[in-house]
Amino acid sequence: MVAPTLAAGLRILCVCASVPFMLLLARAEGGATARASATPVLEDSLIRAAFIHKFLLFTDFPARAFSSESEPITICAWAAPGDVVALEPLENKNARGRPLRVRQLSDTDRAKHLEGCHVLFVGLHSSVQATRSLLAATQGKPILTVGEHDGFLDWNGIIRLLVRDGRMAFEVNVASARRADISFRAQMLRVAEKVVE
Amino acid sequence: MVVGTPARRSRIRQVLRGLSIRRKIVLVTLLVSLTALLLASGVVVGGGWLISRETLVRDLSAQAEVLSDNCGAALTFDDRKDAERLLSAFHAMPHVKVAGIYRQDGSLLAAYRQNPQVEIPLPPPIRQGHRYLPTRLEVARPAVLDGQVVGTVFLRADLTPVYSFLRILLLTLGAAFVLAIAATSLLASWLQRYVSSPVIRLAEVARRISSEKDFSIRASHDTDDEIGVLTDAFNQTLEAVNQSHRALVASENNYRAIFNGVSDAIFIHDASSGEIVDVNEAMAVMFGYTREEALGLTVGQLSSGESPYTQNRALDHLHGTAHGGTPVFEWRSRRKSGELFWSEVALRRVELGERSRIIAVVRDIDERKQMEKQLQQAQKMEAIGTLAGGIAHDFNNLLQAMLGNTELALTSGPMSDEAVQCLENIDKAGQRASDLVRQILSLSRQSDAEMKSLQPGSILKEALRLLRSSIPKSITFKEAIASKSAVRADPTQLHQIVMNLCTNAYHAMQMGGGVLSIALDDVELDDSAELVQAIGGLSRGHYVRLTVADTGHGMSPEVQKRIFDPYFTTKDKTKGTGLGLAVVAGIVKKMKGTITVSSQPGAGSVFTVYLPVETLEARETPVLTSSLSGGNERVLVVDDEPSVATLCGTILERLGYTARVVTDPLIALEIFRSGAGNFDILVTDMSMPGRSGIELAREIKAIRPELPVVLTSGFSEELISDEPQTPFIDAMVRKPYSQADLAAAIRTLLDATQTSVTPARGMR
Repeated sequence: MVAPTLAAGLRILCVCASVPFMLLLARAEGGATARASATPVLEDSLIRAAFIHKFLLFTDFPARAFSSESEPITICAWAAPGDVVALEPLENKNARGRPLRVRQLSDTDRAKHLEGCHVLFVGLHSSVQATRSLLAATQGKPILTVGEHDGFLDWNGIIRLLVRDGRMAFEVNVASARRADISFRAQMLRVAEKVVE
Repeated sequence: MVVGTPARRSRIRQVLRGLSIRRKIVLVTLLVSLTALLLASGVVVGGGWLISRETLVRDLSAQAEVLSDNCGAALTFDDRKDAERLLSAFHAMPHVKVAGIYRQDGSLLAAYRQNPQVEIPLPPPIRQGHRYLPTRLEVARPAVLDGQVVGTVFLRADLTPVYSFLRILLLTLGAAFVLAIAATSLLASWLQRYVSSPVIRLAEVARRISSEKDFSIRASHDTDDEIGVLTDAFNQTLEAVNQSHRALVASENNYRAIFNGVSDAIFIHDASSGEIVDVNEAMAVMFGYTREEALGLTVGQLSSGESPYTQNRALDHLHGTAHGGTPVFEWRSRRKSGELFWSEVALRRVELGERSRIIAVVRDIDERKQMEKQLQQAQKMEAIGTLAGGIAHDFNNLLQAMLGNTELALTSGPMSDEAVQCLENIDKAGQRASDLVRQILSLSRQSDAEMKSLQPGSILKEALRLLRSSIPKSITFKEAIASKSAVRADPTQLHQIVMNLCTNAYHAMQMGGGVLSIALDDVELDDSAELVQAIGGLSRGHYVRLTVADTGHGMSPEVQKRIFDPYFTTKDKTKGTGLGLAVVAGIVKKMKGTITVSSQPGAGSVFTVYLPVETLEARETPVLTSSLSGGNERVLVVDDEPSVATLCGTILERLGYTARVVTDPLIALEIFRSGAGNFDILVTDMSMPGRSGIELAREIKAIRPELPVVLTSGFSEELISDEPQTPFIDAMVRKPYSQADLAAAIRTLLDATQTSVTPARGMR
């Protein structure tokens, strides 16, 4: 009896949570229109953007990752334009006392422009090769890498987003994170679908 | 403490009062300890309650804090499973009944319920802090992530930990309580003796003193606290009490010794009621009652009851004394046996303690009364004696004339039997009169008789010879004289004893005749002899026993008791004075002897006289020969009484003597001075005008020293005895004398004189 109630509650929560995202998205569309053409924004993209924000709530970067106390957390995205648009509303948010910035990596210098990135989101539209080269470029840098490819964690990616049972979920490669000198709050790992050592 | 009803309080007080000091100390210690423990326990329990509640809040808050910290991811990622996993930790905390993780909008992410029946509150009743409800505690914490409240954690617990803590606390306290009581009891029981022992010792000493009445016991103490001070003070008080007690006991003993030591009876009466409150031992002896009996008596019961010796009169005396009098009076008292006696009572009022008492000192004056009576009688007798003595000379002269002439008439020649009988009656009456005169003289004599050693046998024989002539033929005479022992006695008095006893016996048998037995023998009495034991004052030794027994009418025991009292007589007044046996008893006592009587009414009486044997060789008493032996010598008879003088002359003429009779001693003296007559012997009366017989004899002896002198008298101290009192008298003859008395005296003297001084009579 409780379980259905909870399930119903959760559903309601999900809907409620997605509504503001959609509104934000609608406004962002207006803003983005100036920079890009009308790009369709998917609900999944919004959820992905929300997850990235949530990850940041539980992530500890090394001090060397930032030049100053007030330096924003820069989220660099190599993804489909819809996904990038979905990220833009995050610029109004904070995490760990820092504002968030979103930067779309350009096709050509994407590996060179990783400088100043704290989070690297690699969407599914990226090729395996491009993805692996990007990941290789992040090695030794305190950059939280988030991707969707099946082998993302095997390629030393840190967090892989996936959809399971109709719900967004994630997997964490703790070894990669350690190499990147990034640590997570334990409770986030507990929530993770899979934690790879 | 419990404050009960007054009844209960008084019961508690009663129980406390009955407790020993040991128990009281232990009880007080326990009560104090328990009260302190209870107060402390109350504080501890109260404190424990508050602390445990606070602890529970802290615990639960900490749990909520941890949960809220840990559920951030679950809330953020809306991960119900993770939230449920977090909540499942509460399985290990049974007091947590409900736990919930709520989203920011109040909807439930996950919940934990110990009892599935319990509903989860929606939304959470509180979002922060805690609240105590009667049976539970609720705590809520916001789940904050990166400065943002992402949800709420709500916990509800019951108060089991508080109760458990309290239970353990109470159990611990209970155990502590029991231990404390046990330890307190033991310690108090052990330590209380430091306080109670001296008190108990003191109490024990006090108890011993009151039970043993021994004030010399002292209490000891080994502390110098208040009990030590108390013990010292107690001992000092005890010493003072002891001293005053000893003084009191000594005083009481002195008082008792005096009270009971006096020979007078002492009564202590209550001054107002007259009731007897105490008597001494002398009272018990005097009245024959025990002290206890006496205390229940009234004065009336101790009095004769005859007016004025009655209870009312006695109370008058007591009341008079109570109001200030100090009377002394004589009282007729009554012994327990009913016997009455005279007493002298002296009353005095005293204050004994707080009470007003009257002391009655009662002296038995019965003897004194008797003595007074006897003295009166004695004085009467003395007067009679003096009177009798005064007339005895004349009396004896008269008797001498009567008896002498009667005797002469009887021996003068043949007469008719009737005449002889008449003359013999005259003689008997005369003899009786003569005896009476002698007895009166004997009683009235002032001086003691002269005691000398003599053989009672000879006196007895002489007395019996006299008696025979005066006792009628109807009485048979039996005599048995066996004693040759000597006693120390006055011969006249001995004579009197025999005469009195025999006269009494004769009187007892006068009516019907009988046997008069007289015996004289020697006896030896040792300590076992019945008589020695029966008669106090008679010591063992040799005695001469004179027994006079008759077969007359005898005596009752009552009479026997009183026969030795003066003036007691069973005879009518014409036959005696009542003095006879009293005189006998007096004489016997003087001779250190004793007299007993045994008698039965109708069976005669036996009088027995015991006289102690004189150990010195007895001197043979010259016994006057009684034969009428005459002679032819010349005799000068001097007597101022012409009839007696003539009688004497006649007797002597008859005996063959040549007698010259003169009635004036001076003529007699003249005769001797002139040398006329050449008399061989002088017979002179004692009392004569001009010269007494003794003076005459002295003067004549101055002329003729060898001349024997016979003194005759009816009145003289000297003549009571048969022995001459002066060297001038050679022999004495009492008036009235018989022919034989006179003849014997003269013949004996003449024979003795002729033997020693002159040749035999025949040669003259």
